[in-house]
Amino acid sequence: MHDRTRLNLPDAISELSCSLRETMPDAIVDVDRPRDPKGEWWIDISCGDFLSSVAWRESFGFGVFTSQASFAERPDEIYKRPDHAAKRLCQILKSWKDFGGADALWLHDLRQICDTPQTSVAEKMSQSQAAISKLEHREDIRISSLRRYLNAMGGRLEMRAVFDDFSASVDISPRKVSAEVRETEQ
Amino acid sequence: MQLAPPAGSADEALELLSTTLNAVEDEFTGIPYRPDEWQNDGRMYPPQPDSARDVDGRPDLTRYRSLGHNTLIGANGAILIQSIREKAAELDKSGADGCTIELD
Repeated sequence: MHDRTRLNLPDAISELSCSLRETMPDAIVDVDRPRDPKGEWWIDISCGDFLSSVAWRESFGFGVFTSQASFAERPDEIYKRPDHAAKRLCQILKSWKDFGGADALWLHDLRQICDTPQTSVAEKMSQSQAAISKLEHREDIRISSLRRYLNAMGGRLEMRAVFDDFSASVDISPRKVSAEVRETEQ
Repeated sequence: MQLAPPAGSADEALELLSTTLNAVEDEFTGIPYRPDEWQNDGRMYPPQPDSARDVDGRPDLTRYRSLGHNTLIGANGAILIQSIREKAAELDKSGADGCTIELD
């Protein structure tokens, strides 16, 4: 990997470069520095015909893009940790090689980023590894299963309802649902 | 944007760009303007001050980087939006002095 600007980089960007060096040894990384070091940095990664750019802000982390470049868009995914961002970039590179474009995150992609084996998720969900494999490839999934799957990897499920004129978080916690059901049943 | 009266300074040019883009997004997306958040919400955002960059050998220019574009603002109010991959000019607007941004 050729890293053209390694001097005086923020630690997080240096760590991303190191992670990419391990996972994408043929990649060329260029860093586009802002005037203010506390501003928005850009890391441009090329590997053959593959080109991808990641933004970095100290207060947010790494912004990864999976949608097509239009004008002035914001990141689709944000990763605090450089190694997580590097893993995601490898997935995007693989997706680009297989399909010619970046794919949205699938459940097994999430699990790989978290570095959690299927067996560990299965144990925490009290299910078999085969059941977890099936869940990861299911087209339609129960909210409760998704919540437990994410909990098993240390994450949590959030849901938002988005309308043209407002958006709001939707509470889907089991306690709340149970309370509503009890109220209806009485 | 191309038809708007030209700006006379870099600050005016940035203001023109921001006002125009925000007006279009307000009208056509209905997505609230949240400049302090960073994740994609389906809305385009104008260049932010913390994305400014110096241009080597050109103290008259400021460059604002986004995923696929560089937006260059001249001290004379000129605006050049250039795609990064193709290097094609997508907007080339002169400042109030009639001069556009010329790059080597």
